[in-house]
Amino acid sequence: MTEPIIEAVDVVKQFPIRGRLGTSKALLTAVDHVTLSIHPGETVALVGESGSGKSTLGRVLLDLEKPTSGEVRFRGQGLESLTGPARQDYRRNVQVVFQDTGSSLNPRHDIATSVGLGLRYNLGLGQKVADAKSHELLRLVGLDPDSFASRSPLELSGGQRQRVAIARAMASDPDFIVADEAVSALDVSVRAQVLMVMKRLQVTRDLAYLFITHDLGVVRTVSERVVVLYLGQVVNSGPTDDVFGRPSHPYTKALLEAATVPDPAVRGRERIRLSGDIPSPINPPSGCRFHTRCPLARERCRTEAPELRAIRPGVETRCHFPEEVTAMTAEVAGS
Amino acid sequence: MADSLMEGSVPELVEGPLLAVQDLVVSARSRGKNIALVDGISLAVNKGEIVGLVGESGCGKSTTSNAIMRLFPSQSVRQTSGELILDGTRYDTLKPKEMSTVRGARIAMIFQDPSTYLDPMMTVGKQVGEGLRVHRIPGNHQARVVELLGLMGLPDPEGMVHRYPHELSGGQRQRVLIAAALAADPDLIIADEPSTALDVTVQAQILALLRELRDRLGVAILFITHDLGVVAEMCDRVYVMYAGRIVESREVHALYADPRHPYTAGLLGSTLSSSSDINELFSIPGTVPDPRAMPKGCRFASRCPLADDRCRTEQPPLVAVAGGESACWHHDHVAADMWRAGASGGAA
Repeated sequence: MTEPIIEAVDVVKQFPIRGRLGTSKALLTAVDHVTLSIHPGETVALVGESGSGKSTLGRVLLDLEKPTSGEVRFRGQGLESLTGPARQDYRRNVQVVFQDTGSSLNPRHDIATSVGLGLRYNLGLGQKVADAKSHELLRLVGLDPDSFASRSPLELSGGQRQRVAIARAMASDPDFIVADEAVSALDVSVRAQVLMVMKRLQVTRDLAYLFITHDLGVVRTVSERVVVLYLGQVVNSGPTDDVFGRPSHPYTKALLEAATVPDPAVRGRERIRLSGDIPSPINPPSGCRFHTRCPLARERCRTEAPELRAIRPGVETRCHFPEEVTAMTAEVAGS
Repeated sequence: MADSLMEGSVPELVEGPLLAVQDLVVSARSRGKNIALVDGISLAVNKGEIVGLVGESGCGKSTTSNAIMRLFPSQSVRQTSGELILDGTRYDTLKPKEMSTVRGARIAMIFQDPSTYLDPMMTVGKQVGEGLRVHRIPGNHQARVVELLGLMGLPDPEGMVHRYPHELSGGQRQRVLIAAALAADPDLIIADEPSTALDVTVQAQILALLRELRDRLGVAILFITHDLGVVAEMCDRVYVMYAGRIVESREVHALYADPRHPYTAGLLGSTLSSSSDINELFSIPGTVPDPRAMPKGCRFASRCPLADDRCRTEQPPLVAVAGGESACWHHDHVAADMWRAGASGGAA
């Protein structure tokens, strides 16, 4: 296998919670010993509820947050050790598309300028060349530069702005893009359009994506591999078809079954319903962190924290009883 | 209650709908011109029914719900024609003060983001009880609030009364908001994307709660959403809106199994969970027309693979199809997979 483009190695990220008068009250562990690698041309999805640490992990990979311990490696090299041109190379090759592009595009700049700035800063291109290239990028994401280049972001629809954000992320010809809920706010028809643009770019440029999302429909559609986070820990990971097709962690199963299905004929189907919300990451439950909401939980789960372990080639789960989860699935599917 | 006049000897079937919206036009005044945001829509919600109003951003679905609640975002947006009828009585002509006998009392609303609509300085008990006070509901308010919170499945309802919104999770806040909406025992709830901002697991809980409330209390719900998954889980009947008009109105099973409008077929086909393969994905080409320059004929014509000269010049009326109505000249040629077979390849 080729060398990963980006890796998180045993990454921990903690935030101090300030009490009154700025005294440090507690530590919130947002990301808890996460190891993850992404290869060129691959799409990995990171899923979990809000508070699971998925966006924090994305920010650590983007070097927007420094890990408390552990390391992020870019092409095998730790980010800490990257200096000078090597660091610039990382900055150029790792880009991000956020959810809310309304606030990340400068309303005083026209679209071509917003896209071109990256070209001028990252690649040191002159104004003229940058303009020509930004027109080409707009065309790439399906926006006709003749009608869009001189528009303000305020004159665009949500889907069009999102495509501008993608064009801008593409400007430095990156190898890896973090898409943090990049399509969540879009209408269904536009979402499909943006995903197709992203997929096409991946194929032509061997791009790797990390899709951070809570939308399992998106995950199924775009990603080859999925990593499920719960309270900062990886609880399940592997090829999307396998992880979703034969769930081996009760949380994955609950997420899948909670998702609505656009077909009224399957209404009232059998499913696990999770009670309550995700517990506080400041004071996570003992033993298995999921035991407070798990329908299979028993004494062992309350006291002994399960390790993340491989149960099939490429599939890992953090559950004491993965066979029981898979058996439940088979039963429901068979009935 | 006012509706007791209507009941009694009248058999159920002859009884009119709970809410009827007739030929509603809502316009925004801009530079001396009226721009119709909602352009002549009619819809009905029966007692105890869950009805969906679906469409993409800008189609006018939230403007419609604002009009039903008589809450317009600014002075320049107003109803320019049409009637709103609740239980046989027209109410859009009521004075603002009289409207309070309808709003909150007979029709209540729940919103997408509960934190915006809860007062951070007020305890849960006070906010839920407010509806009881404002509408002068007799009885022990304290006990009723605890009962409502219990009905919402909130843990420790007695203790919950004294808590503040920031102490609650997103899902709990949404439950409090629903409790407040139900305080005055309304006949109809307008739910504007009530589960969109929530995680899937919590969303599933809130949807189950709403359905349970309908089953137990008989409250009707008008569900405003862009999420076809939510509609499939929740609704009995569905209205699909496009560019300020209703393009299809169907019984829910009929709509999903056999859409009779090309726009509906396109929406269903681009919904992700139905296709696990990006290569099978497609999107509807083009964009929604500008409300300042609506086309003369069918508003979907510029994006529609079935469009012909007639579509471009004559606006199609809603006509009867199996299980509802469709506003398409070619409704018998619409197929669930028409986009996949036809123009889809070009977009990818």
